[in-house]
Amino acid sequence: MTPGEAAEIRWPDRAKAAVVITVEFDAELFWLRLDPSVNERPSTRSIGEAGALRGAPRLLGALGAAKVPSTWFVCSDLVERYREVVEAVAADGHCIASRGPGLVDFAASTPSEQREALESSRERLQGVVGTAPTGFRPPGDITEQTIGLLLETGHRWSSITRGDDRPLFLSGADGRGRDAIVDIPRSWDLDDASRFLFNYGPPYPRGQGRIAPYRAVLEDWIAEFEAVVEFGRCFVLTLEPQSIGSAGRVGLLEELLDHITARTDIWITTGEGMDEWWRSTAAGAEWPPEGIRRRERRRLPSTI
Amino acid sequence: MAERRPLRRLGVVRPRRSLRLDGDDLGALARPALFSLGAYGPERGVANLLSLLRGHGITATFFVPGWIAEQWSDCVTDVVDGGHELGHHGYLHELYFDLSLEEQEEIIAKSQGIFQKLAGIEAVGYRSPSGDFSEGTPGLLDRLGFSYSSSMRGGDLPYRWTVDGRVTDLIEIPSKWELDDFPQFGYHDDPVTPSGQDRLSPLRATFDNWRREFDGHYRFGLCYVLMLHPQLIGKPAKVKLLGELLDHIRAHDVWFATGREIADWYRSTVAPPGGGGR
Repeated sequence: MTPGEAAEIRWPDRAKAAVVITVEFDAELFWLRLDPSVNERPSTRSIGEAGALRGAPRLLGALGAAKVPSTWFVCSDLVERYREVVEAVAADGHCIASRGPGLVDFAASTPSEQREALESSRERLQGVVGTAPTGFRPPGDITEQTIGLLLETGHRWSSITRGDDRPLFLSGADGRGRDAIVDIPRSWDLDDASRFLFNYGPPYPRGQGRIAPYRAVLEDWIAEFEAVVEFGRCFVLTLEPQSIGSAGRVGLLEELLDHITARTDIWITTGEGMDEWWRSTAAGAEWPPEGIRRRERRRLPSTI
Repeated sequence: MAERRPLRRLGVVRPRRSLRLDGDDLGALARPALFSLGAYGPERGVANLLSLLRGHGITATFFVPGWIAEQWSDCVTDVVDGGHELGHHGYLHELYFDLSLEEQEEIIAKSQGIFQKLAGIEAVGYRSPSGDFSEGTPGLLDRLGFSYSSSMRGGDLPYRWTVDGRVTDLIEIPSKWELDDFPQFGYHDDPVTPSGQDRLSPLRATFDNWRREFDGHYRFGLCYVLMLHPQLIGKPAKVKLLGELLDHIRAHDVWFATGREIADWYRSTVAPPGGGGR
């Protein structure tokens, strides 16, 4: 396939490509997930707290100045603590989606625990935002039961998988959720926390890698954006306020957004917007792919 | 920020770290390669750094562990004679998070005694060595009459510490890992540092990060707190690049201040909430 000819994806208004800016609002839960000792580590906690109170407003400022809508995955354990931040996000017209409670690891939870977490998060977010979220991206992974549970708890879309550069329909091995949950795949290439966050104790990154050169990361993101547009795909950026919202890094986002908004032939949307579009027009791609689905089914015990 | 309580208290067990170290244990003779790695700081780095600062007419704050002050007392005198501030940084760069408040107080008293003996002064500023201090440390610092701490790694403006619900006069001047030279340039093979043996960060790329952070702090009117270690930044190439960064900063309308000056200014300018106003 040659770049540029991949016009098999139809985006609204004949746009060449799509852009979805996602934000993971984790604050100090990012650090608590690494190690519960963070409960007793005021300095480490302060990295996340400053992210919410100082970084998030700067991030909102950059998005607002560029008139770019974004999608915030909010931990429901944070909505009372940082109520004013969540309200500001909603007031600016950004899409608010669920990240679960924040400390719940869905990949390690039973279906009933997951259901409880999905329902309570939805309610708590609705309590602050007014409307219940329809999208979901947890920290870490999910289990195959999660997809059916998402449907049953009122969710319509997610942003979880990493194996494609366009939305797809997500379904468990049992087939539940098929043609019902739209997933918007993300990518480590376009993730800011893994490039910029650092701490000694608890260690992050685990191998104590250096903080990336800002300029190089911006160049990477611009290169990724240009290529995604050329290929006609979907550019999904993942940001964390405590990472991109630092005084010195928010400028990187501004430069990237300048670059993105300078193009008039792309479609910038939210998770909800993408969900509606994909549902109404698209067909085909699914996770897991049909081949894997068949193999998995043979291997799975008959009770599933 | 600091007064917000943790969301949940989860149980945690951690080992107590032994405090029994003396000069021999630190390996001056037994591990010369390791020991000299850090010794570059007081042996050469401090002089290079002091000379650069003098050339720029800038005063800085040096947080010096008591043991280092004892071994290299000339450094302490040079720092103080150069008009720079001396701050507390443990006796052996202890991780305060691992220590009881009694142990913390002992270390502070011991190190203050050393500063008193060498330079006739006591530190009014505290920077926790190696990362986190414990929840009780701000209360201890307040009780001991410290003016400020510079130990938090989130935030970009000074604020007052709240201890047991009471807003104190203890000021926090937060900094961040992205403004620290150690995560970028600290390196050794045994013991392995950093733990994943990541390669040294490119010099110019790191200084570009610090320059961008300064530009952002200037744009938003914040307090830029650079954390440098003479054993790293004091080497010729890095000291030269630091000079370029200082040239860049000095081309802007900024106030270069020591920690003590920032804390004094903040206390006298910003009244505590619920207090008598300005």
